Amino acid sequence: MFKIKLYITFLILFLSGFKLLAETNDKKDSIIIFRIQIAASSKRSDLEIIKKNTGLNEPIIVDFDEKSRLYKFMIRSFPTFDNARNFLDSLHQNYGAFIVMYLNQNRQTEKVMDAYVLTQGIEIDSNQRIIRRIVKETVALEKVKPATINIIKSKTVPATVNKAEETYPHPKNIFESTINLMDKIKESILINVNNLDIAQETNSNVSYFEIMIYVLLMIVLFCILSIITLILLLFTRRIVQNFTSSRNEEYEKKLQEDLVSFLFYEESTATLPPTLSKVNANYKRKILTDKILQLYSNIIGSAAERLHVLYTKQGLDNISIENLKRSRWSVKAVNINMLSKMNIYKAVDKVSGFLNADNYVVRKEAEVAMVNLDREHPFEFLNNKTLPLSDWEQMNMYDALIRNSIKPPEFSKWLNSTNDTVVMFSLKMIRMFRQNDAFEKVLPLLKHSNENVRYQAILTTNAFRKDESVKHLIDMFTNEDFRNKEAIIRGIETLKKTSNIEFLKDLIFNSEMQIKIEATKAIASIGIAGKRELQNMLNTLNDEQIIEVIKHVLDKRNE
Amino acid sequence: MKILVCENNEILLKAIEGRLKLEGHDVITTMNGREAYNFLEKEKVDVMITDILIPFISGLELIFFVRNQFKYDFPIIILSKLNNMDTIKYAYRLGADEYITKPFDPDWLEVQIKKAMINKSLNTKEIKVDISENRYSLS
Repeated sequence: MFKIKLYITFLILFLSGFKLLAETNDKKDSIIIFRIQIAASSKRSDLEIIKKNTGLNEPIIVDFDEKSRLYKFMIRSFPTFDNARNFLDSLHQNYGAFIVMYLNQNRQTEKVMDAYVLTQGIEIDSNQRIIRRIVKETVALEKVKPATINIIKSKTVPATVNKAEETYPHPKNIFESTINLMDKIKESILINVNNLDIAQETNSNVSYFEIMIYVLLMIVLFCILSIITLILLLFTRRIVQNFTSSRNEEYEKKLQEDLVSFLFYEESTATLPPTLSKVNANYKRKILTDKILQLYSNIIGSAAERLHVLYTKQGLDNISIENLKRSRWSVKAVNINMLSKMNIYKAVDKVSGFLNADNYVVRKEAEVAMVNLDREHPFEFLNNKTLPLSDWEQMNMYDALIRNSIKPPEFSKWLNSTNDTVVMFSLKMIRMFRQNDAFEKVLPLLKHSNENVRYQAILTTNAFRKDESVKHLIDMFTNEDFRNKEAIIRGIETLKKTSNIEFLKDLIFNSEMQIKIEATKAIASIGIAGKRELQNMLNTLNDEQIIEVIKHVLDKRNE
Repeated sequence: MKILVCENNEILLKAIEGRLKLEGHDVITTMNGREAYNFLEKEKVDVMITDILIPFISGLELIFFVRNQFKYDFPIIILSKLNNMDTIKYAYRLGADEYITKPFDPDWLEVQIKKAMINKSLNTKEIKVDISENRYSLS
């Protein structure tokens, strides 16, 4: 989150920088002035003649044009086009004066702005920066305000050369050289207009290029700043990590020594060493809990009892119980596990609330914890178990039962559960703990609708090794799948009763090869009677496949 | 008695060390099989206690090296969470003398060490019985 904020700040700084540069750029381009050109000549010394002819008593600005090799004579400077236009009107001149625009002291109307051509308009932005300037030939001067000059594009060229001449008649009394030059310029108006358009494009390209340079510079700057920030962050993080790690290591070292001393050297548990008694900081509590759990899961006896005392004395059990209220599932799971491992029996009620938790890990931890903590009724939660028990959960519960030497309950009471996985788990446990009293309750499960339950029931029935079960197994045999059929044959095989040979003999003629082999092996395992029976079959049968199977089973090398 | 303990759980290693030192033993601790191997290359100990699942060289491999490479005959006690019969049998076959499964009682460790020592002596040395004083000794 902090990093995101930091990057946003840098982005804002970057944009501000860009805006600042753009503004600087605007200011640089925004100096526009308008002057009145009264004449042009190839000689600078014509200045006095011009003053005389025009009758103007104004200071004349002389501007030399490199391209036309002419001296341009200008008066006044105006900030707006309107001001220049008003002044031009007030002159009531007939010598062909016109308005010239300067952008940053550069003449913008170089060749185009002869006596008959004027800047029709310019497109400017709010900072008076020229976006587009269009010059048209023979356009009469119209009163155009800078703010409204962005009309140009759509406006058609309205006037003709004649119309322009009416407004600005061709000078007659101006000196010859100037007139000649003006004529030449007039002839090349169209070409010049086109040239200007090209020049404008070049101008705008330069400006775009500059912007691109600025953008690139800002990107480079942003990247450099990001890298520096990243390095600083990594550096700071490394420092913090080193500090935390060295602090933890130091505490861990002291803690281990004190813990060992507390377990084996202290006379009583009443007094605790300082590292064990003052556990206020979170990191200390975490390390202490971790170490206690590690040791507690590995040792038993008086040392383990002392660890338990230490755990409860420090209030770590209450902290774990409190942590069960936290929203994160991982915190819940860890704390349930902790309470279970440390045998905190008072947490049973709290832990039982997580038996049907949505999160699988929390649910599994709660189940294992219940087996461990609820010593009187370790599997009572199975009564209300609605969610399926996975094999992993079943294994963990069995492991908890064995590891904590808990007396297994009568699992037959869950054989009628509506949850099939609970029934299967109970069947497995009945088998594991040889709960032979459950035999009568297991038999009906051979007809259970779920084939997995039937499979577990067959295995459990087999484990009882009771002759009574054979009849039930034979009855169900035909409709079962291969896995269940195989389990039934193996169950009958374990009984080793000659009375079962007839049933097994029939199975040798079964269409499934594996069944044939299993049945033959079962007959052979019954003993001399079984082998004799197979020998007889070998002598009387003509089926080559069966003969091969029997020969294979009777081969002493396979015994 | 010089005892080499090889256990990768640090706190448990400290606990075993503490408990054995309490009995006055000289305890050398290592947290992986390679450290133990390197130590045994240089020195012999009186008893070795090792876990099976340790880094670099497993406890079972360590037994193999002790018995076949270094040709040491000191008692080796396995201290492991592995509780299956195949592993236990394999450990004995390699040359382990005792197999203790975790969780274990540290107070019983001393008894197990003595038991392993006596078994080793019985297997390798003659028992001299002094009938007159009604006691026996190992030589």
